[in-house]
Amino acid sequence: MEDQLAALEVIFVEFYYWVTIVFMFLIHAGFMLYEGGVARRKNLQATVAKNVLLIPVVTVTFFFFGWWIYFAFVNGPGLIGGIPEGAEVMYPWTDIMGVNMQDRINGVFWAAFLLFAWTAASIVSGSIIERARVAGFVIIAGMIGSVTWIIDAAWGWSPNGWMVQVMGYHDAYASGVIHAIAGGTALGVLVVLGPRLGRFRDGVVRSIQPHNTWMTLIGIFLIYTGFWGFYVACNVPTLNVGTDDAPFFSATNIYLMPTTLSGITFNFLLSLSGGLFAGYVISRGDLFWTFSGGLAGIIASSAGNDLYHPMQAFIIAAIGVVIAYKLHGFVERRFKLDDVVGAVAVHGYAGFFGIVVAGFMLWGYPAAAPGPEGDVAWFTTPDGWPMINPLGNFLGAIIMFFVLGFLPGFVVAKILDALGWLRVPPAVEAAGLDTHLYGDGYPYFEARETEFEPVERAEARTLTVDGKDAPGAPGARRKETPR
Amino acid sequence: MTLAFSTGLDSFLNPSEIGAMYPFPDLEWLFVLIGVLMWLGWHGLQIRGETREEQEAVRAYEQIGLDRAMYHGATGLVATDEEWEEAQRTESDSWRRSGARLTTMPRGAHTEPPPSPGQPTQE
Repeated sequence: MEDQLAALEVIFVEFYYWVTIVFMFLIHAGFMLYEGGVARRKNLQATVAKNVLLIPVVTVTFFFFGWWIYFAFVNGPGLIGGIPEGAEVMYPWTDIMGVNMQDRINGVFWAAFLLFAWTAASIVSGSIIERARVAGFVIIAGMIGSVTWIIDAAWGWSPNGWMVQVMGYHDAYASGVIHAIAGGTALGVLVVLGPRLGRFRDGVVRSIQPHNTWMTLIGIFLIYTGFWGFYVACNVPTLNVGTDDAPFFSATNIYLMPTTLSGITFNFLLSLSGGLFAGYVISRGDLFWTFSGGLAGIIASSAGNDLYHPMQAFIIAAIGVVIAYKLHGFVERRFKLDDVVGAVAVHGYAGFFGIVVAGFMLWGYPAAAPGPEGDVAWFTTPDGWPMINPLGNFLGAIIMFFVLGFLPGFVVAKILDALGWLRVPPAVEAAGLDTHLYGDGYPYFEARETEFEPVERAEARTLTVDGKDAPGAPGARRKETPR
Repeated sequence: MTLAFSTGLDSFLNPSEIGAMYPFPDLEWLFVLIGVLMWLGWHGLQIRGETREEQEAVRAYEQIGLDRAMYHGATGLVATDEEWEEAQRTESDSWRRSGARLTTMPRGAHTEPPPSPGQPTQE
């Protein structure tokens, strides 16, 4: 870089995204505390192992093919064009995938997207703790972190993505591209995985107490903190949004449409507050759901938080949290879905809601400038640009939650289950995943059980394979017990 | 004397002409290949190791029974013969600090006491 001003701009952008990465690490520290606190003592270290091992798996696979997918799949591929020229520079063996004096930003962009990938995988992680195998989970983590989420980012979180160009899809801070897909994936996996032993025994829905509520709540607070990095990483810090003749520099969203850091700061905090209020009220003061409500509130408003008024963000967040909370309770009772941390609700339902609402609220705004494939949009603005609209966002929500979320999660979980890699044997689950493998996480503290654990062991003893008692067998299934 | 082993990059005096700076450029494909093998190999090791560990745990729990294995909670300790006999005799469910390591627990089948019913906490 020979021009000092240009160099400063490049280095500013490089440093800007680098700082977002550091902040986003806090999301994962938060997820670890969150899930570790919710897990019972006997499953603490297995839970933490799952959290930390997804990091190398998603990182190395994102280096191998995830980053290339983002550039290669923007057209479908094949829906509005093939694989764009230039995607090949993101092969893992090209010389900009390393220290290179002619490139200063690729690794920082790569890492920012990678941290989103970790987040998507971590969301799934929390819902399946206390009975999922680490070996099976990390395969699911690689799938969502380096394949399905980055496909959805190419489709709907890129200015030239076909969902943006054709449907006018708008999802500025990832209600769908991270949260709905992760919630949908968690749902698909949970359907196959089944509930924890004893959770729904004899027709009763039993709550299983976290081993450390305080740790869990601190974890969620750390996720809020990391969310600042997440939000800012979804922006471009400075770009000419005017013309060459009349330049006007502004921050933009991921679609290169103008927004301001000021505006998203308002909206982040008001959507957090709306979610906290609603979570507290709807759960009647349950702190876990109050904190989770804050998270769900942000997620419910995120799709349009680049453009909403702060009070709109506040109200949408509150409504989204009420819907997500109610749906969580209904699905849990009706379908016996044991989502340990409520991830399907907080991320999936709130994210889905957020995308749909943004389609109505932002109806008529430009979604992005026309891409290289020209005018392919269903609806256009007077300038001929793809237009945000309710239909595009509703279909987009379905693509995120069901097509790229639920379906791959369900199919891969089915395969893992058939191989015996998805769930630990019932006897191991009842005894605790740590008990034999990792050891006690609190060796200096006296052990206690709640009234739930004998119920759990009783259910483990009722499991059979081919009609024979086999509580330890990987394929063991519950006997039909009279209710 | 030239000591360049790999890169041919022995000067930073013309930075605008420098591209990749890591050692062994043009062998990136080989490093990626090794990385892919390490990644897939790790999955294989994890699956095998975890399966073996779970099978050992299941054998242990089948031998001693879940209630006895969990006598000290999820601490990796099981009730000693004396503790278990005492618990059977008194039907005590109080937790104790002492015990034998799970990996050295006494062998032999036994009859588990009936489970105590769980209390519903949420309708």
